[in-house]
Amino acid sequence: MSFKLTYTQTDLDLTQTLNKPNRWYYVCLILLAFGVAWGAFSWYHQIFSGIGVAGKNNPVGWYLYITTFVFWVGIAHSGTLISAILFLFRVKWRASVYRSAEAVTVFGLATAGLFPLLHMGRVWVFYWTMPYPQMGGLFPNFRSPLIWDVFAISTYLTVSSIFFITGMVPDVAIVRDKVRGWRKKLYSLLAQGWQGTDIQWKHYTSAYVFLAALATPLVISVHSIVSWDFAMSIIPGWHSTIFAPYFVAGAIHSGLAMVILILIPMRNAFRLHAYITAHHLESLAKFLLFTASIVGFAYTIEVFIAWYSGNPWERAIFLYRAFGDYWWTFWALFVCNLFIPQLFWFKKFRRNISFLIIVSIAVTIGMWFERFVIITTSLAHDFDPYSWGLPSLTLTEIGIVIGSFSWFFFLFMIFAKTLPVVSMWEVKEQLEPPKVG
Amino acid sequence: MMTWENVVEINPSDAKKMIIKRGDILKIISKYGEIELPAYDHNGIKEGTIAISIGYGHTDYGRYAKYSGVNVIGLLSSDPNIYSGGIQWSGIPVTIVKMEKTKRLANVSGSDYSYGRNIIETISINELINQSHSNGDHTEGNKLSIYKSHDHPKHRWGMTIDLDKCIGCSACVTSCYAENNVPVVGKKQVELGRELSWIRIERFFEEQTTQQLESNEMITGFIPMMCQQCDNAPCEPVCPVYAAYHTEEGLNGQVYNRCIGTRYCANNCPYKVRRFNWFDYDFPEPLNWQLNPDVTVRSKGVMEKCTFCIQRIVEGKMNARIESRQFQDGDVVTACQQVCPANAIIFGDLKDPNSKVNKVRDENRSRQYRVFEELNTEPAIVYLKRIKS
Amino acid sequence: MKNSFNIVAVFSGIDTLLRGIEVLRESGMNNFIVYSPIPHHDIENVLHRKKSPVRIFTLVGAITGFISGWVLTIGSVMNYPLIVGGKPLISVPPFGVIAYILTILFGVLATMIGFLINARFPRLNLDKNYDERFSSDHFGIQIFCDNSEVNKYKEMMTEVGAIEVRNT
Repeated sequence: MSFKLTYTQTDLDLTQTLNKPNRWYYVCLILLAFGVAWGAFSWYHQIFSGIGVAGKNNPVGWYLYITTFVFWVGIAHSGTLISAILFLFRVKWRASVYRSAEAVTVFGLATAGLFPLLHMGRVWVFYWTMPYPQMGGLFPNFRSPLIWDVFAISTYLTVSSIFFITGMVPDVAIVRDKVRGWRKKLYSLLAQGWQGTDIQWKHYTSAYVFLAALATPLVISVHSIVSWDFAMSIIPGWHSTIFAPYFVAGAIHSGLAMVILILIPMRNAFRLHAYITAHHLESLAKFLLFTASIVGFAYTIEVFIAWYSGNPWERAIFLYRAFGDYWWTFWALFVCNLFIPQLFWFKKFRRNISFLIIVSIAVTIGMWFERFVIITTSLAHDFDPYSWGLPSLTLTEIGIVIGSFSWFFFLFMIFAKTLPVVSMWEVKEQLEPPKVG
Repeated sequence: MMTWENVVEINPSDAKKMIIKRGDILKIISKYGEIELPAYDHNGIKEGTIAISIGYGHTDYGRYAKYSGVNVIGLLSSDPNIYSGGIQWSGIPVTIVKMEKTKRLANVSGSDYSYGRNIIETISINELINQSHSNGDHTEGNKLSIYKSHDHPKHRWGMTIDLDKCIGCSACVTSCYAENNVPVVGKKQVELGRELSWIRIERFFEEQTTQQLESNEMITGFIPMMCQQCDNAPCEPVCPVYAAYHTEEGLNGQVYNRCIGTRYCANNCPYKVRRFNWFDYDFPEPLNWQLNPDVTVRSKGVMEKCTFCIQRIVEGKMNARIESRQFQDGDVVTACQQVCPANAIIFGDLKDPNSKVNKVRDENRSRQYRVFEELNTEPAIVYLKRIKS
Repeated sequence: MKNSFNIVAVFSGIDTLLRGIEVLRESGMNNFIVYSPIPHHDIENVLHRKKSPVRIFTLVGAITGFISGWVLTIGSVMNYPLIVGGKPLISVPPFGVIAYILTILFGVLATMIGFLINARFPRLNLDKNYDERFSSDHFGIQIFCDNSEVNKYKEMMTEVGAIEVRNT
């Protein structure tokens, strides 16, 4: 991958993303702020009235909040995969896309982290899940997958924030060196005095390798832990050993789709076509195809095992998923997550921006519905037929879900205009350094 | 099973013929009047007939009776029954017209059928006679576990429920509401599926073929279902804050003050006996005077369930200690046991070999079973199979 | 190791920079730092510096995390034993998950601390010899020497191809 780019040109192109934004930016930001406000107001209403303002009931105790929670945690995974795992494998094309992907991770986690609080019945005592001695020496129950979630997601948020901020330090130094006035002071603070000396680079690159090495197992383990929220249960459709790899593959699948959906408009808005090339998007598309196949395989295996095992509970739940009250969501999964991405076998579709967008939107919707199918159908139709029942859709619940999407994109838009969205130092590392003669 | 209003009870095959779904509003027209109310199809009604409960549709009977349901008396003739001299409650020909409206019903049951899941088990007399030998002691069950079970040093509470005696009257449900300060959630919340009863009568229609009856017949079975106080409770390990834990006496404890309301325990319960407080519910005057001072009133966001009337257990043990004597069988009577007119529910100490709960199990070994035994939850409640003739 | 004088040589290409470093090392001078916009393996190779000790921090942090995970979980259940679901008090698989997560968390935090300590980071003020072009597309060598050697090194750097040499 060789551009006819120079260091100087790179810096120029990639710092002009921080120029004063145009009118449309502000319009989008205000719309997103409204979405966040709707979500915040819905949450306020819920805290004061009770969880009953959402649509859950007995038996469906988890509905859209946990669906959206697992969705956002999933989206967060592909960012770390691109920035950490591809780093360790020395994959060159990651250099220009990993910063935005890492931002997707950090903001996805910042969004996902709200949901354990949102779905709690008594959120004002949420701190009882923190590991400190309470009520005379009682700690939280470390056997509970929800506590594993607390640890895993806090760790993942901490680690990816550290990785994100650390990776940005040399770039923020570049910005610091180019701006003047109050902005110079701000970026000096963020760059923490980075000067690019060999000693700094030596320790920095060593730390970077270890951060990447430590973030790598998180990609696999965090979503496995989140999937064990379900697999540790006994209800049919949840109690399945395939959940950890299945969810991790699904997470990367949805994350790649979100990264593609973010990169394409960003690339157009900032005119970054030289840095985020068709090759990058194609590589992401190929990766998406791979994860689509794994996810499709997992769906098929689940159905096969439900039949092959002869377990009447498993069979019943899969028949319900395919033909019961939510049958259309089940079939939508196959179409959105498995069949539509198969278009990417053809180079024509991989290289076409419109198809990339269509497929990514389909995958995003499909992956949200996958979590919905797993959670809602298994709860609605488990062991005792007397207690079967369906939840209802309420405005509060919808408001909070929309608020979460608005919050994510709001954070990303602020990031896009305050920090460099493409990593300058890593792109420059891939280029030929300037030579005199 | 309907609450809060009356409905047109209609046989499912009739409903199918007329393309009526549960909840469709029907207009019922007789010679004397017409009313509109929703349909509820179930197998308890003979084909060709419909039934509607009386006593609903009051206009002046207080805030809860007012406008609840529809007054059916307008359909009846004013001529007395020729035999009894009373009102003609039955045998009135009516016309059913399907209206184009539907409403959500305050129905507490999900499905009316058990789909062969053996929740209510029956045994025929012949099988009973042939199986006079022991069928295994169900107080221990088949321990398919790699973990050792824990000790019960003093008491071990258990219950036996005889399905042959249970008549499905729901007195146990009412007494539990009264004893444990269970709030009444109201019609809207029941429609959304949030009723809070700790014990409930589950009713299933099951097809039975027996040698005596030569055809398939739908019979109704009911089972009182409450927290099974499982030894291997699936609800306990998943609570993030230890609000659900196992006591030394074999009870599944629920600590209301500790619950943060994640609802994982309810998701994991196969019996779905854990109920959540979706709101702060009212106890409007004068209902608040009826509250039991020995039991907390739960706030919103807290999970609750049957506790085997732990307040009565504590009181019983305390009384024994005050009176300087050993705890005896009969010192503790749970609320449901207390009101059951058929004495179907027996509660007691499983460590006491002479307790009634053990005696009833021993005398009925071949009828013992536990619900969802194969899930290995090890419930403390043993049901005795209904004897079918 | 700060001597009284600093000489800063600015290079516009990596080839001239590398030559500059080589001549300095040949002349026996090792008291200098190199500024560059990117970490380049050629620069690292020619400098022969010691390997970074950050990895020790990572290891210590990870081991601490692993041990703390077990201590936290086992200690908490021994302190307040509650039976849940018929599971044993010391449940190895769930506690292993917590230990694994804390391994990673403490490893990362220790790596960060190691980096900050070793790189003497963060600093409030930049070195006054820092040139803003160093973050973009120029390289630099800052030599610490005595008054008597200033001219020698200035000449050396100019000879090698530095576009700018100044001293403070």
